[in-house]
Amino acid sequence: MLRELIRFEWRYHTRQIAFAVGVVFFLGIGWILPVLRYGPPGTHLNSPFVVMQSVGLLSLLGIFVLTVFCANAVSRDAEHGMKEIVYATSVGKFRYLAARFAGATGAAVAAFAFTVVGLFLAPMLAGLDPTKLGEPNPLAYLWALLVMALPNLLFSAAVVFAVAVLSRSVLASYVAGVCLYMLYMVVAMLIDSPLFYGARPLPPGAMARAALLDPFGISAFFEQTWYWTPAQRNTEMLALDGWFLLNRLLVVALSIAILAITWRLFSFRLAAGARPAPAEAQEPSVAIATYRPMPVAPESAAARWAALRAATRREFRATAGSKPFLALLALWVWGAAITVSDSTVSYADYQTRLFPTTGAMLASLEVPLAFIATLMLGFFAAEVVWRERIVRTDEIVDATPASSATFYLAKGGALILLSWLLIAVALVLAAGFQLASGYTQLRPGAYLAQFWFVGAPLALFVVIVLLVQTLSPNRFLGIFLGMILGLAMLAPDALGLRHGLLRFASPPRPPFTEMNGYLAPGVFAWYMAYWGGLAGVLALITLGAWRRGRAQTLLGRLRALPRRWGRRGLAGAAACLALFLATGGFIFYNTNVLVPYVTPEQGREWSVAYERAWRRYESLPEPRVVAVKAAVELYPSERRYRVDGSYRLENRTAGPIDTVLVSLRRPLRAERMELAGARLVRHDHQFGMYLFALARPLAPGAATELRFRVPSQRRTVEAGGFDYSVVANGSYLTRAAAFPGLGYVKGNELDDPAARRARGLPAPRGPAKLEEAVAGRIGREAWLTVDATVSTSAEQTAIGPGELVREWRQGGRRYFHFRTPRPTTPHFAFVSARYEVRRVNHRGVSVEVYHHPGHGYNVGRMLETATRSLDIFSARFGPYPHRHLRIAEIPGHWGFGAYARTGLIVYPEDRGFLTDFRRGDEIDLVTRRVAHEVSHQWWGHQLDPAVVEGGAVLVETLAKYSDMLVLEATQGARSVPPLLRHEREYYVLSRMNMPFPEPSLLRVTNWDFVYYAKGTIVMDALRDLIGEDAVDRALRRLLREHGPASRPATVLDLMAALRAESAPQHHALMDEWIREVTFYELRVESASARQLGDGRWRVTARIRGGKTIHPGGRMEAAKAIPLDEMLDVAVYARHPISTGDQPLHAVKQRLRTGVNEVTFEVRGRPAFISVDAFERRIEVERADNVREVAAAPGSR
Amino acid sequence: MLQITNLSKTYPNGVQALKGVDLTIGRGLFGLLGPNGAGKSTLMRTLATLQEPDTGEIVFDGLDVVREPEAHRRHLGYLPQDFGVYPGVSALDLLDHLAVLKGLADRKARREQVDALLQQTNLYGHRKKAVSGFSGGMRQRFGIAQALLGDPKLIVVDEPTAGLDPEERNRFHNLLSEVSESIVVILSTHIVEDVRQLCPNMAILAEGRVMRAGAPRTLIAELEGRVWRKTVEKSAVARHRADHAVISTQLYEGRTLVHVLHDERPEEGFEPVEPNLEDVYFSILRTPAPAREASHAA
Repeated sequence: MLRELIRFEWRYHTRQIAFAVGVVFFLGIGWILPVLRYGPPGTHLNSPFVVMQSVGLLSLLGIFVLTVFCANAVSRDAEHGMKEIVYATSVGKFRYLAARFAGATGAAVAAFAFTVVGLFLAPMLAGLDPTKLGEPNPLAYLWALLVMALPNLLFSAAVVFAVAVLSRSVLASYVAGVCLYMLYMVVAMLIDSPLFYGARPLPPGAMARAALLDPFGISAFFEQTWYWTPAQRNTEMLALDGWFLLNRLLVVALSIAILAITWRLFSFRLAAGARPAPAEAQEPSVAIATYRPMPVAPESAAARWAALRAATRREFRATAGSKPFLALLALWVWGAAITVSDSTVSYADYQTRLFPTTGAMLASLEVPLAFIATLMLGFFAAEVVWRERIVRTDEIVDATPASSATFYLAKGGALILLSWLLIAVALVLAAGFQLASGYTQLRPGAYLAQFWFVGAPLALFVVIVLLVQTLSPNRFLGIFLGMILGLAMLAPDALGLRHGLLRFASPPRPPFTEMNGYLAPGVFAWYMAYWGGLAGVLALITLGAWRRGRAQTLLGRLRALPRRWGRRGLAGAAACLALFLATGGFIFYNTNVLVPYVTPEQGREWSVAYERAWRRYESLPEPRVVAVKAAVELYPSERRYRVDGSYRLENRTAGPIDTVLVSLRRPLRAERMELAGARLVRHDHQFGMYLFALARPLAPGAATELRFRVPSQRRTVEAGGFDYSVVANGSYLTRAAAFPGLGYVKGNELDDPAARRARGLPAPRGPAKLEEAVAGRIGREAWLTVDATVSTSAEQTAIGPGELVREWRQGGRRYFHFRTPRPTTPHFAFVSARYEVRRVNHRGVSVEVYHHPGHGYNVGRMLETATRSLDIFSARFGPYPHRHLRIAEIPGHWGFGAYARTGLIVYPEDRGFLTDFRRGDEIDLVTRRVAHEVSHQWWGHQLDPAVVEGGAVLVETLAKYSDMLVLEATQGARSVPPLLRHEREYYVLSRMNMPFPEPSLLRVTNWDFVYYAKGTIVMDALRDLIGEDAVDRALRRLLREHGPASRPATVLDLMAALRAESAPQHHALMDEWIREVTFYELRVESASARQLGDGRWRVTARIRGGKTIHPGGRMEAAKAIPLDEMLDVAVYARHPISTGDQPLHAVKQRLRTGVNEVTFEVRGRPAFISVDAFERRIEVERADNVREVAAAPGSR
Repeated sequence: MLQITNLSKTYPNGVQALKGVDLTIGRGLFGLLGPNGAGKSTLMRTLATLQEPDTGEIVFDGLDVVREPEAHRRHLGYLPQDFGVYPGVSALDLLDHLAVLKGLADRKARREQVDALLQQTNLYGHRKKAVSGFSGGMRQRFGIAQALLGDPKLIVVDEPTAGLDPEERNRFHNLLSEVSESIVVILSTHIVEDVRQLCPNMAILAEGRVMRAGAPRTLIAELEGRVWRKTVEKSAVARHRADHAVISTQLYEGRTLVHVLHDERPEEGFEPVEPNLEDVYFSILRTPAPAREASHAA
């Protein structure tokens, strides 16, 4: 009988339209992931790893399908009046529940299984890049479905089904689904799930905990595969053992337990909570008022208004006061509280704390708020739109003269109010959190603006869900369709919708920053007007097709639409359509006509065409820019600028130059571009190229002048990305953004090998070889002098390169004249904002911090670090070349940590100015970063290396080394090992995602995990090996020998300098570290200590050592090489990693390949021993470097 | 005055619910009698603007109901056959709410009317209790109260007494007949008794057609002297059905009471009886189809 029941349920569910929609949805979403190239780089899009990860992630979406099926499964008896009949049958409780559960879950699983079909088919049929695909392995898909999806769906189904059965409320089961999803996200955040960490190192112990507790198995999946190489990811299947197996068993057991409890608590009773009807009390029939008809005027404005208010109030009360909504609200309070408190953790910066600024609050809330509000609207719209039909009071209400518009507006209004409630709760929490953390710079205006910036798109979504629910034959299908549209609205990028005109109610929105507030609110308003126009049409369609009375067929209702609209409806629709088209036209004019709009594909074609048209000029001898004069006008409130300037061009080649090629960044258009003594032969608008022919060739040593005037693109509305160069407060205009360049622009070339191959272009050239610099064929860009007058609005301070010569006001604007006294590196920039300034004069250098008012928290620390850095670096490397050192705060929308220009450090607000040191236990990021950027005044701006492989070592590795020195001087030697540990983790994890062979330090170009992370470790090892003084001497020598007038340095020069300053026996090891990709493997196999009396102990340990290199950096080619080095062995009283303790005793021991017997004596009882105790060698597995020291026989 | 002309309705599933209904209904209570599935509810919903007919016309006091449903709803009171309410909302609040929807914007007038209705429907003592918890009779009285809100000129009540106990039914009837003096009240039912007690005018609807219309008294008079009855054993019922125009059979103390329509005594054992409305109703329903077609044409 159970089988029959289940078959019935199965047939019931799979014949619903919702099932078909679910199938299509999952098929589509499975299809879309490979198309979006989901997965880590270097891993095949159809590898078992990516398939497992995709299925795990998508199984979270399965929750929503399950809510619909489960809710339907338990509510349909009641709603279709079958309850009494079904409950009275001989179906037992178990059979009833089992059949319902199995039917709903089975249907949901069946729908979900199409995800896998999509994932499987897309790589074969969607025309993906074949180099990113492996052999399709059907087993991998089935395996993912079986071990990942099935337990996850079972668990979700158990939870939602339990709520649905026990509450008998459809809404409650939806909310259970939303809660489950949110709960998962929050729990994942709390247990530090790898899902949120990406390739960042995890806190110790977090991985195992997450692997066990994450009910969707995603953390356990990551736990098992964390250190997998791309080759492993491409071929190996996830093994059902270890934490993953444990997790799966736990989840299945938990699901069964939930179902068992549900079965226990459920009983076949009618109408949960219904009280007996009140007894008919005989009324004392005194003073009976007599009924008389009262005149009605339903068409009057007063009556319409009263009806709208009453209906809205009724809807709002019925939803906002309902238990499901309160449950959702409670969960949101919790989720928002955690989100808000987590917002002060800066994941980009070693999890340091930030002040809870309004910007941080809003940034953290934006996505979860939009998400939960969208889900809420999707579910509650079903309840609101169908309310009268669900409680069967529709015939009464529909027969009243209240207009359908009243009901439409009331229901829409109530939904909007609900979304406002979610927004308000989040804002109150955020403000409360700010105050509770002692932060009082609240921005009520920015908070209120959320009702517009978050609220308006949600209001437009309300129009959509009302439309969907009105057109849908039942509310379950309506929910489904609404959810799909909601997801599309939340993630238009996933559908390839990039242009604001195509993203419904999801216009390009720059982040809110403390300095600049809402950038371009006008752009948002234009898009809202545009989509508002469309929404108006949709609202009128909804109204015209509104269910009134006995539901007609959809076709019938649509046919009746013109009649129901009448002339007024038609006029309204025409007006909305006109608004839609007019604003759309205006936006289109701005985004596509004033500035050509370029899709990524068009961008690639553009690159190809550029290369084909202009690469032949690459070898053209070029003059050098040696002096820049410019008037730079910034208009912050209008987000525009104008650069009027000239370049002095000098021929420093050996031969005459008769042709000069000038480039201007797309999509800028110069108002003037003239070369003295030359004729413009060709102006290529498409690529911004100007080809000049000199009347008389420029002789070697001769000079000419390029004059230009470049305005910013004037447009009111952007299609997608924003140019942050000039904004209301906090402009940062670089030479690269606004000034012309010389010669062919190699950076415009397409660099993806597959894309190039597909278009018949040769393989990408890659970075210039080291040997090119050695041969003198590649040097550096010429240094130049700048003489610039920058003007800005009256209340702002502008900063330019060099010394400030003069400052004045004129015509309501401020002018600043800057000049560099001698040539500097060529990449200058201009900054302007409403600044407060703090300066100290330190040994003839004016150290200045320009900061946003109210962001003064860490300015003292910055000044202190900057002056200390100047002292340390001057003493060690050589004198500081300028009379000023400026640090300028810029808005947080700039994604970098900080950037050093010559004499100027630009520093985004949230990467240091707003770091909160009040707890005192964080990594001192500000000290490190300021020291790092100050050191670039030596490494980068004095030592300006050749632009070839390894150049980054001379700039970034040396800067990392320098900031470590400052940190050590400030916080002592014990601050170094944790720093090195972090760098090593970052290095080891990042290299796993490397799609190419890993370069050594000698050949590194743009891989930061090599030149930052590995470089820091190698530098620390070097100074340990040859001594700090020797390193300093080598660096001084490097600076001395490779100044601006000399040959630019390469990493080979650094090696030569280090060799020159160190003993020959170290040279082989030094070379190996820089030239090779080296890994150590050190392990303490056993350790014991014997007490000797007088408090001394003899420690004996067996340490296994080994070393491998990867020739050519290829991960799969490992070659063991002999180990024979002095390494640090130290003993501790407590665990060194978890406590951060200093060692009781540390010795250098010579360790060789194989097992080494090590013996030494220490004072005090050693509890732990560690090899390479100060983390100076690179190892993948470090846990076995530390071992507990056993008490040897004969000791206590 | 309500004029229904040639009203037809066929549902998408092919069921022809109304087949050319013509009716003229004046002030007072009008009973619409018919068996289940006769098309009563379709007709009632059409009168309540909840459904559109395929063809035909409804004119009420000069207003085309089908064309201008909004205007018609202004003077419409409707009590559906089966209705629910918003859960947890008190009778007072719900009536007030519905009064606002009906266009009673004036708070004082609304309050007065709602109070009066609560008292007249004997719900005043329960006004603060949720309607969703009411018993069947109370709920039905609430239903009539809401139908009377505002200024109704046409009240449509669909099977209002189903499920009511006799006392509740009585109270309900009193209320209906009180309000029906100056307005049109259409009551649909399959219970002959309701119509007999309340309605000065009536129509019998079956299979989507109006079989007869008129005052009950007139219809009964037509059967004067033509109805006969006989008490027979159950086993003899089939034979009687075959031999005579049986109007109705009814169990009486274990045997069957048979009513037969015949111009003279059909056979031995039959005795004449005074015809009642039930006989009218059943005789019309039992009339063979071709005959009905003819009578309709006439």
